[in-house]
Amino acid sequence: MQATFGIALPVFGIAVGVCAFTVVLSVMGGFVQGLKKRLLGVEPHIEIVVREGFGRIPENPELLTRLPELSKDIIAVTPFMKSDVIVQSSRKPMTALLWGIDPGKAEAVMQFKTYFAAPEDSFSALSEDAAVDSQSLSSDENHSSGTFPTLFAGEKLLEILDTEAGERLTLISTQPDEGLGGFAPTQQPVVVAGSFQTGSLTHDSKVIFTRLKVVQKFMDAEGEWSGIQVALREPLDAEKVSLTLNNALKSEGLRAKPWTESNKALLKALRLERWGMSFVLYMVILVGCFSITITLVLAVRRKAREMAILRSIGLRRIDLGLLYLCKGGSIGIVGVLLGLGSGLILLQIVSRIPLSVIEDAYPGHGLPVLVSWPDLLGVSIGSLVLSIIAAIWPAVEVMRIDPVETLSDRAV
Amino acid sequence: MLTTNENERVVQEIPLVTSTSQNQLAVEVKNLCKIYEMGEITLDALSGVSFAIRRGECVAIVGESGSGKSTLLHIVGALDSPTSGDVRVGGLDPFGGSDLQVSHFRNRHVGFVFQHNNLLPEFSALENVIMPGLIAGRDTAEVYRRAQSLLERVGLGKRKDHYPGQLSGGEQQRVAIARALINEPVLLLADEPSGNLDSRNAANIHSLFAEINRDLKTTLMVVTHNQDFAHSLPRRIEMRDGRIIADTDV
Repeated sequence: MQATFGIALPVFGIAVGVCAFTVVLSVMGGFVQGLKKRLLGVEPHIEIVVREGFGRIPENPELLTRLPELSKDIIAVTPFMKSDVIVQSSRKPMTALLWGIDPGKAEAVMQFKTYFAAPEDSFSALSEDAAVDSQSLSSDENHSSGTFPTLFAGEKLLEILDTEAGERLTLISTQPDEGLGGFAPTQQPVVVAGSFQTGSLTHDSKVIFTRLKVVQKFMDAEGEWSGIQVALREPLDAEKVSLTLNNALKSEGLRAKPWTESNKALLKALRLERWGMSFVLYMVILVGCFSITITLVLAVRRKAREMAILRSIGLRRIDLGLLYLCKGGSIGIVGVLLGLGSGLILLQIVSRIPLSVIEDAYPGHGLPVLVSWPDLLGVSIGSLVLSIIAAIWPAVEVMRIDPVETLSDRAV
Repeated sequence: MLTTNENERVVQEIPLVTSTSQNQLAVEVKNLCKIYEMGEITLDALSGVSFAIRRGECVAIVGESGSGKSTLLHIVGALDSPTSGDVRVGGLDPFGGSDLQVSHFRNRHVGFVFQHNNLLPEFSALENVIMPGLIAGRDTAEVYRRAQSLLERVGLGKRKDHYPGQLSGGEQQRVAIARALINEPVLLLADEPSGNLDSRNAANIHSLFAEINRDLKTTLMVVTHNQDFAHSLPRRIEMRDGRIIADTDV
């Protein structure tokens, strides 16, 4: 009974550590996966931009057709134009990122369909034909006549501007243009065609999508692009494909910028958080391993006479040492299996039960979960190795047992 | 009775490494010394002990407590190592090799029976008996057969599945004797095997040793305080202060 309890304690310690590892890393993985999915739903996997500085590249339709031939991983490309603007509603102004896209090609590059507030919305609503006639605008607005370009804005931005779909906004350039009356900011009236919600506050409160040509004209940069957006079959291959593209485009003064470079700080923070959490959780497992050491050292002392008898009948020192290393390993295996099992059951539970604290981000869902089997394999092997390392001291102790001294009357 | 001088003469007459004599001798000990150092104090547990035991002989080692009997037994059985001197068991030097070789020697060439707590409490009588056979890597079925036969010989055939806690002191000693014989050793070493038993059980154990020596021709070296038992054996080596003071061959 005493021996069973003695072994149960370190098994429990390892199991708790592995269970915590499984749950925390899987939930963190789920959050990170969701974050990346939202990020990649808006951000291009690769951007082709000028090699140095922040200049623009001349329109180059030939490059658009050549790019997919450079790597079989590329599934779509589209030019884009980006600029900071001030957007003014009838009630208040706000800074925003004006993002000009080719409505016909953007759908293929950006997996955006699910983010539109209205299910029937799509980027094709930005095409020239869909521009809203000023006559159809609400009568209380003091608008000019003609047709206005349309745009999609983030829901949060529209909320800040206190504006809804169908209403008019004015884009004001942050770079003043020289006109007849001197320097004055360029202004462009536009109409809100719809809104989107990506779940990323940065995008939902800042980004405005409109037609590429509208931005080119607004920026007085006709015949130029900010760059080319590239969509890949597998976004995680962005760095590898970027290397290929860089080699091919170097001579043209262009370079490929993967999404990992654009979001370097965020990814670094996530990696750091993961390392920090892993360190803390390994400490939990280490405590479990420490109890293996204590339990086995006590067992060696309790069973010293039996060990001495085994030595007297021909068991080698090394055999006794290996016996205790195997004991440590066995405790580790049972602890890891129990920890993995209980962790996976716990994940099933937390992923199904809706939690009020994450209701905003995951309405009606439990915690996001992504089980990374390679990570769990790593944790299992790591825990097992630590369990065996924890048994080294007891193994050395048992090897040092002197059969004569232990079996003599003095030791009885 | 042989005097110390006579004993020395006997040892001198027996060359340590000669093939003919090796085959006839189970144990050869020459000038064996064991010194324990405890800080600044040194204790001579054995001082120049020499003797020889022929194969199939049955020898009692007697003497007062602290005379070096158990130390001698431990060194002959390679449980302890000598400070100096030579030991041969079945012609083999147990201290000439690594821990692997010493362990192999203990497993194959000698069998131990201690005074008490001889058995592994978490294993049955049968499992205790087969243990040295399994360590030796012998055929499992054969080891089981021999263990069963040895348990029957010591009168415990029907109690093979009992655990040490379910056996009396005398029965436990009998299991220990069976275990010591499982690998058919050259030499059976017993350190006060009846010291913890009542007179009836002690007498049974003594008879068992005599039977084993007679039937199996196993060489016996028994440390005992029991004078009756010692006198019933054909040869007695008496020790005092780490020396042999008498070697009586009846």
